[in-house]
Amino acid sequence: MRVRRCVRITALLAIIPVVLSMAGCWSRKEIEDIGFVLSIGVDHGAKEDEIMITAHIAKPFAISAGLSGAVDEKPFWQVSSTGRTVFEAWRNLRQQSPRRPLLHHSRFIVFGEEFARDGIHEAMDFFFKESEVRETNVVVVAKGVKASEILWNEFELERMPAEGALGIMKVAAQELSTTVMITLNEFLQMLEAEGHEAVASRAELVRRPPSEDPRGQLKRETISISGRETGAAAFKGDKLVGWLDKTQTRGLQWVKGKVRSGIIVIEQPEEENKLASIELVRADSTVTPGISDGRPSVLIKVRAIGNLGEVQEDFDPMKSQEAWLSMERRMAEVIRHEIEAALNIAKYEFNSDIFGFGAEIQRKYPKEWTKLKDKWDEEFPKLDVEIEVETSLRRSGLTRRSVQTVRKEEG
Amino acid sequence: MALGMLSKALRRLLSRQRTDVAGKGQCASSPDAVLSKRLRENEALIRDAFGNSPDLIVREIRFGVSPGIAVLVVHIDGLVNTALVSEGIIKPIGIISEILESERLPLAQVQDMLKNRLILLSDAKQVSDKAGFLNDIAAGKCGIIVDGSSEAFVCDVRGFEKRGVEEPQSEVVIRGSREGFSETLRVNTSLLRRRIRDPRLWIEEFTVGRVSHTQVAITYIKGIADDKVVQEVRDRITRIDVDSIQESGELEEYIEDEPLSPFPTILRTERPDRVAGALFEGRIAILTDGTPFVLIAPATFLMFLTSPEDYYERFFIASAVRLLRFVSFFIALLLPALYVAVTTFHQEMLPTSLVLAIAAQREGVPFPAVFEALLMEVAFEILREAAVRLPKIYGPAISIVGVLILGEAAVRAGLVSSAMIIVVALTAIASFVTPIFSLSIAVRLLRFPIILLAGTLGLFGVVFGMSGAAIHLSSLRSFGVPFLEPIAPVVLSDLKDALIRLPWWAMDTRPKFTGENDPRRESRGLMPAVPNPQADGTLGAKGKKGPR
Repeated sequence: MRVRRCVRITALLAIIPVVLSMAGCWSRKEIEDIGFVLSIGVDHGAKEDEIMITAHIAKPFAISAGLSGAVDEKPFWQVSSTGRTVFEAWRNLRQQSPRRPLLHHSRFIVFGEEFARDGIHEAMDFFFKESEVRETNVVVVAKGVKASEILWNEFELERMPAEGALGIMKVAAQELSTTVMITLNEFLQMLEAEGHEAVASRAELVRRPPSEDPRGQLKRETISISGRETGAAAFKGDKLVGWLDKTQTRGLQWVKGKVRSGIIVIEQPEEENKLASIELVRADSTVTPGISDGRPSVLIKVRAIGNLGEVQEDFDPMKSQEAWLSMERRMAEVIRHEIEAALNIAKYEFNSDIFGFGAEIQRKYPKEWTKLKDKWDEEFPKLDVEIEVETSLRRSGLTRRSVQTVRKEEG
Repeated sequence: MALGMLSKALRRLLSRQRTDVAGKGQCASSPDAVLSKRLRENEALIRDAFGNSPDLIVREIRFGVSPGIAVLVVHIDGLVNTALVSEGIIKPIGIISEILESERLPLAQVQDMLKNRLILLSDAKQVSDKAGFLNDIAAGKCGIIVDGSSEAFVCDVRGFEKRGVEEPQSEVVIRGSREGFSETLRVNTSLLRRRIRDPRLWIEEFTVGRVSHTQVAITYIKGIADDKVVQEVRDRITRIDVDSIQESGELEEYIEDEPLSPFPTILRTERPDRVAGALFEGRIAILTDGTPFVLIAPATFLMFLTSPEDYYERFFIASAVRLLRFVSFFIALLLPALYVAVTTFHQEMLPTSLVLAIAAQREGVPFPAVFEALLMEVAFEILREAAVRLPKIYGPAISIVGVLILGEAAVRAGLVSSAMIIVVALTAIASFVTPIFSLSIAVRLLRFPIILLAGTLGLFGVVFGMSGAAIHLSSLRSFGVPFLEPIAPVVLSDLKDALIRLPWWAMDTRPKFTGENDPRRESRGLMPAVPNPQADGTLGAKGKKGPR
């Protein structure tokens, strides 16, 4: 009796570790057996109807060299594979990668220009369905090149290209507002929304002349192919229709209320040919749609607050209210100009409602929208857009006066 | 849950064996258990009982007119204060012998004179049963037997070498008393009496151990402690029937509520201030002769994470330190498991740069992370155990071998990753933060199954293990008090002294489960306030403000 009980208990104790180790571990993957994909690019393959996936995989052993000093090795590996669908191409990558590529840590989804112009619809579902893909991936379109080429760019301050690109994009979006940072989530929402065309980040290659080492002894390399993220890619439906430059992108961001900071250069009051810079502190916007006699219209109100950052000629901004107000007016003028630039290219060149005016109308006038919806392509270029810009200047920097250099009159 | 099942099964197994232990032994009191009237027989009995041990001193003094009266003085050398024996016993016998030179007195009168007028020691009593007499001698008392009487006379002249009151080794504080308990029960009770100078501090003594006759005392404050709990402690101690009790840890295993749990449910401490504090909360202290470790019951889980210093330092700091200890407790329990789970199952949870840094370190490590973690944990436990047992002179050697060779060289050789070394080191240090050693070793043990769970099931396994531990902990009771009180069940009034400590003037009630008899420990409104300058005008914010 006692013996049998002992046996039973011993068996129970013995079974626990066995059961644990057999049932478990099914999704165990040691960290060193994983290839961490940092960016992924989508292009046309060499053959017709083929999709080419380019993965940018980190090489951990080349990043932190451990105890043996710096490793003279690129910290990433770029590999491409093709397939008839994105998923197939992605899985085919495993023919070449000894480590299992994992998408969790991916930061960018890059489309080549050619691929984007032909329509990205077929590629999007994989990124939507796959659980490894984070919705915070930034959607980028490479201007003029294939995605696989743009992934090669390197940055001086970051060893990993994805980190470098993300850094530039974040800083530019926050400090300059001249680029858009569109996450996969936002991008998919714009693709699916009615009356709102998609935009994505725009990336291009910057080629610098390779510099020769002056002494010819030490190994010195400058990165000759670097990247730049500025401006935006405009879509219509799932097809790329064109590019926005810096000014137009900021115009778009003004309307969307996404301007965070930036420098606005205006002409200095009371001085000819001299400029003043205003640093933006805060900005917001409201878009109010209206319909009169069946014709839609939109009122954009932008409010911007800035500080006077510099003037080129000595000038006391506190001297007269008129000068202060004129600076505010000029600032408003610049903003209005930027918005108009964006509106013009979207209306007349792309005929693509990247501002989401249609969506605003649909929200406020759902009934009228059902009539407008089908002919929005004709209506959008004819849309009446009224822009109101309200600006205010807060501070004038540390000092009231400016630098006064003693200059001798010539002649 | 598995733990509970297991413990049930084990208990069923063990309960069988328990029954046949009881009922055996027992000092039977048969008619010839009484001392003989003849001195010779008694002397033979005593010598026989002690096997003629050389430290047994049997001195026969004969006085009076021949043949006179013989008196036997019996004690054990080394256990008695010899000066006291000669002053208090031999001398008075000398006086009686002088009296008897001149007149002849009956035996009863001699005995009475000895007992009541001459041997004036504070603790003396009459004994007639053999076993009791022998036990008293063995305990260090001095026995006097007069020829012709079966009544012996036992007086306390104990005096033996003992360690003084020293600073406790295992519970060090920066601020607070430096006194620690010592091995002598009487010294320990005196330390408590000195802290609680009130007759309501009640002490009850028991003798546990058929052979060791270890003295065990329970102490409580009458009126605060619950009588039912006191009775329960009494019952549990009196049912112990063993040969010997050497340390309170042995006693603990006989009286605790959940004998098969890895967690201790009785607190042990060597600090009188901690015991006194617990007594004022209505708890009961169990002192065992021969060990400086005193048991406190009922105990709750949070008491194990508390240091007496918490009550002496400013409450903000004390609260922060308590939270820190709580965090360290979880680090000690979970960190290696979380590391294993996250690096082998949930790489998406880490920031990219961290995941790449860990991956770079793991490059070339031949073992899976779970095995690496177990290896390093075992290595650390070996180091720790070696450091504890080692003669002090070898200390530096082991740290060199441990730190330099094991740590540094293992990383260099690529056998373990440096991230794992960091994890193990932090875990080790965190485990030393737990103030009570018995909990910290429980945590160290539980770490291993949780690492295994993490290595097989990932975070799911960690959650599984932690839920098991939480269910088990909340099922524990210590002498009727829920072990996780005041967190589970939530007792609002006790949360003031749980994860944080409120200032003393705000902790005005005793713990709910132990202090019900006398719930208030202080009067209300003791928070110090600046005296009103209008009222007395001498102190306070004089001249601070006001119209000029």
